[in-house]
Amino acid sequence: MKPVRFKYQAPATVAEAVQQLAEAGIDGKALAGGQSLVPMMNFRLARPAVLVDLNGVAELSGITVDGDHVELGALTRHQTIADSERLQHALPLLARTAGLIGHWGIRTRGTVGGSVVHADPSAEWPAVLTALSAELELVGPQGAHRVPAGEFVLGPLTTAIGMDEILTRIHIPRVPTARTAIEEVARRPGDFALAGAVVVASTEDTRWTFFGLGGPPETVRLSADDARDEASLKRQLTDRVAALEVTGDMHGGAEWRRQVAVVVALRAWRQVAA
Amino acid sequence: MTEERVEITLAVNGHDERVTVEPRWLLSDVLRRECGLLGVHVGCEHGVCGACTVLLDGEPVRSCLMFAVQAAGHQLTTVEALGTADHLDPVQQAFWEAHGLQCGFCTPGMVLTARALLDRDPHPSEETIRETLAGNLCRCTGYQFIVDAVLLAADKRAEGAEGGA
Repeated sequence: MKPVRFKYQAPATVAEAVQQLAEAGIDGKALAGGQSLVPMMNFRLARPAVLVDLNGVAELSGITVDGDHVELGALTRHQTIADSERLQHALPLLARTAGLIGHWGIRTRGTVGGSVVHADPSAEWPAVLTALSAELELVGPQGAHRVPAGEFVLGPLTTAIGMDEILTRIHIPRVPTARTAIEEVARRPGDFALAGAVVVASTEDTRWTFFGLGGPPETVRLSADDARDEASLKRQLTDRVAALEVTGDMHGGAEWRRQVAVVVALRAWRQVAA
Repeated sequence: MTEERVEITLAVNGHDERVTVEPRWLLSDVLRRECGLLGVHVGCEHGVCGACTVLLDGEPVRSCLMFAVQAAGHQLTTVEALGTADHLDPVQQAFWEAHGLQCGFCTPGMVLTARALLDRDPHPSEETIRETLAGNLCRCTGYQFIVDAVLLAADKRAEGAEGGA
């Protein structure tokens, strides 16, 4: 119930952090909010020999809003996003999403970037950022490059990040005409979502991005004509969700999760259709 | 690997504590063992139960999910800072009066979370209280009396503020 010994590094800049991770190689691990990594270290499921603590890297935090896009520093905490008045105006889906994550005492430490890189299948951020066509800025020894959020998560707890790279910033385009909502089902507020859906509706189409189904976020797209009345929408969503790869667990089997996925998809749709 | 120790200063309950720690030591353990603050209760050690909740710059955090070295430079508050046996904090007094505890194990985390909530939202709805306390597990009370205690604490703090004006 206590972590094994590790070498603790506290870089002040992204460049330093990247260098320390590169030197540590496969034995290194970046620490963001620690709300998933530290439990794993306490149980010794994770045993990094070198821990690179990003919490002192000031350039990794912060929220920027301009005309057509929002930028989140990867180390921005969920609670900061939930409380941000600027985001509540500019992209309310982000603030609403952050408020769904964990409990207050988790949100005050957990970070948006840490959640994306951890890539838990029940996490909200990978799905929301996929739905919003966000881009993730990764920095490594070779410099910076961007990856679309929808291509970043490869599987449960597996992403496209290199072991000497860190996620620094998240770039999210604002589409003021798109209507968005997120809905999920969890046993208690703050528990892991058993199934959830993000909806983005534009004049041409409506897209649902699902999370909590066991794998990477999955998107289902229907044209605006397909999404006219709820009865036919429910039939179509049921068919499309039936084709998704879904993994059951002790909290609910695959078939049950598919049913819940359709329920949350419809709940989210009602918000954007209203 | 050789045992590496670092000296850090923790600002706890209004004064500085100089402690020598291994980087792997959890904040919860250091507060208990090095600072003697036994009101920090260690329950699950993986962030689920909320018993080890302390306030970091006024906001609740799980002290079992932070390393003590990370808390240097921040203001920490544990339940020891709230009241004394003779002069309970209004939140503690409300827990007493509303029977918001039985065994008491979860109580420091509950009280600190409630305190932080009332600092942020002096008159929270019952729904807000329930949602906020969902992160703290209690195996005795069934939660109703805890919710009652937080509602009562909000009244007490409002009365106190009027009395002081």
